[in-house]
Amino acid sequence: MTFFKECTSKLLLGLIFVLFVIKGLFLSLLMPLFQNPDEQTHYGRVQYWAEPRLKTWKIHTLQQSDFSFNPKDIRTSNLPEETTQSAYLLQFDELVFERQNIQNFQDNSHEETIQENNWKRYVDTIPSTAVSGTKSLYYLFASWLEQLFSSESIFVRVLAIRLLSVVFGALTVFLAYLSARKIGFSQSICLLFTALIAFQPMFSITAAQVNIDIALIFSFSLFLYAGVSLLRQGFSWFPFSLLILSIILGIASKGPGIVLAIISIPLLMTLGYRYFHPDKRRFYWGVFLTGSLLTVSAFLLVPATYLASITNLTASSKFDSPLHSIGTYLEKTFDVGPLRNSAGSYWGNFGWLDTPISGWMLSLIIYICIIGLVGAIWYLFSKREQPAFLPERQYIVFFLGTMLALQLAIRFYDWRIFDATGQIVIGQPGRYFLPNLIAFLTVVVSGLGFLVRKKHRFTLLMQVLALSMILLQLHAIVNVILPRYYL
Amino acid sequence: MKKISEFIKKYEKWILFTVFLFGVASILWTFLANFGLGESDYNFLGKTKKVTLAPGMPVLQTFTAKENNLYQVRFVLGNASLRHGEHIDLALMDGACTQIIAITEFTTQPTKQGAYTVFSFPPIPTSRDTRYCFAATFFSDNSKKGEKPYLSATDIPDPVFADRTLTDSNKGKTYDSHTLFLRPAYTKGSLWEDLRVLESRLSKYKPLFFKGIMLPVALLLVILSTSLAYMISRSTSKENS
Repeated sequence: MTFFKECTSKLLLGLIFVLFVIKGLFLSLLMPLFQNPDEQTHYGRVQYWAEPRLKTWKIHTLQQSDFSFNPKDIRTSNLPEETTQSAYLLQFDELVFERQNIQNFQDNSHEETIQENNWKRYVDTIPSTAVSGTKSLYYLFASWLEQLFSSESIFVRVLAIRLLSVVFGALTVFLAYLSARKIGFSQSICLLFTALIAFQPMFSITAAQVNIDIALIFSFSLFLYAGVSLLRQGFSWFPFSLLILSIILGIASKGPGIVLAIISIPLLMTLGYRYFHPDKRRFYWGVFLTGSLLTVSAFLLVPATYLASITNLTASSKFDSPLHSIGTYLEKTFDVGPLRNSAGSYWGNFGWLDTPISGWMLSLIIYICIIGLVGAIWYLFSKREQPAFLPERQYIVFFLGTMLALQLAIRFYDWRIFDATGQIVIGQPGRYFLPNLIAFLTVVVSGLGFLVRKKHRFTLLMQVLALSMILLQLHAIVNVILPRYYL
Repeated sequence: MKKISEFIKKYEKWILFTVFLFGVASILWTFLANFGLGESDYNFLGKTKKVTLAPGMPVLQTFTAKENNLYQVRFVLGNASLRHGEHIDLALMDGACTQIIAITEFTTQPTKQGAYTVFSFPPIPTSRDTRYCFAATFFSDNSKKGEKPYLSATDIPDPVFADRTLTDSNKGKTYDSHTLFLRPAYTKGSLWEDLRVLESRLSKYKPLFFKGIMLPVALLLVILSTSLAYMISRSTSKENS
């Protein structure tokens, strides 16, 4: 019976992975080219990274007075000619943020033109949105694919890079499973939790587009796995190495990756406290000295330009004081509307955030999450013994800490831009919080588990949630994305 | 109550799986119920406006069907939450806006598909190159305070829409070469033919070796998801036993 159960578990896990990959392939094909947020810019950057080191072409530098970037006209982005022309023929500007518009399926000439083009695949005009300060490991891997498939059409090359994102996504799903095992969920709950992650609609679509976000999501997931491993088994070189690797990958993927370095400090301090058992006075001195050392090291070793770019430190404020600026910012962003918009693009708002799931579905999801979060907080402060089927409270604290750190980091950067411009420019699109997906769903399901109290009820609840998530994903594909772009 | 509880526990896995199958069936039914192949050789660009639906004052839009089997008229309708005593009449009429061909009354928010509200009627087999008139009329027993429903429309004449005329009865104005965000949709006469056309649309702008396989991959996804759901449902009884 045990052997049979193990085979069934492996089969189920295998099926989840196979489905995730097939789903990723389908979504990579389904979404029209560049109809994911900033995908045209990310692909342009990939082409820039794929350029030969020796530039044998002339690069025109436009004067500030000659350059005028119009977000409604892709031809003003100065992306590589192939990206620009392909996007233009694919009616990019007509479709972006225009839900009532659709590609022309009557005319075949554009497809042939794009398939057999001789357009330039390099940047020859500066400034260009393809040449920016953003560096990412994702671009490095993607540029290798761009070079590998250089003899193929742009459709093949973009698909190949989208499939790179699917690989990152599949690895994230695997880390979700491993993390769930590590924190003590039963085998069946681990599998159900993995299904929840694998079928989360926004995570699925993010793992099927050309975008550096998926590399950050993977880094965060690796960090979470390393963190729970260290918390569970104490200090060990393998999980510690994974922790360091995840921090490096995170920073090398996208700006918010720096959050991992910051979260690792209290994590390592906790481990240090458990290992060395210092008295409180020594511990606080240790915290103070370590904090000071790290702060000084950061200023000495980290390039000032990097610190300035992630903090927007050099920009001048539009407000009288930081308090006034923060107060106004919180007023604008901590309102039902913006919070709901964030939730919408965390769960299901596709394309250029103009193709959402139904309002009532989003409301239902929000209510479930709020109940779960309330349950998790109650669990943390309850004097009741930890239920055997739930993870220990230390893991919930760790996950909540990660979630809070990412929220603060993104809101901090958003506020810095707001402070300099007086406007919400970036906002908090929900996809920016997808790196905390594993942490968030663990906290929610643990909270729900605490509220239902009994193991068999918790298992049943997880089954219902997993099945609902699968249905949500199918609905998103069949009734939201497909009709939007093809009917 | 106890018997019901025991029954549910005994057949938990089948109840879960049946509800899942019902969910899949609902998804596919919704897709097929709203299915129509919209015209795609134009888009709505440039400046736009909102044409308010004043009570009892129809907004009329003439257009020419480009294919046979006209089956739906899709349009963008805003503020469509209807209260008690309110309804919206949607009608398809002849080109002179006199003879009604199809009419539907909505007392609740009409069916939506993405940005569009969908007005469906029996397919018109010989609709190609025939002029039609779409009429939307809002009725309200109360003097509706707050925002009334509106239709999105282009604000400047466009030669692409030379065959269309927009009439706003409330303002007593007629706008040539203006259009509501209105997109007629068609059927090919059978589900199989409709899916063939959908497949050809899905295959456009794709790598050559992936053309023609989108719907089979979608079907595979549904089948595998259903298999996964079955296995998920089954694990209930094993966990409890």
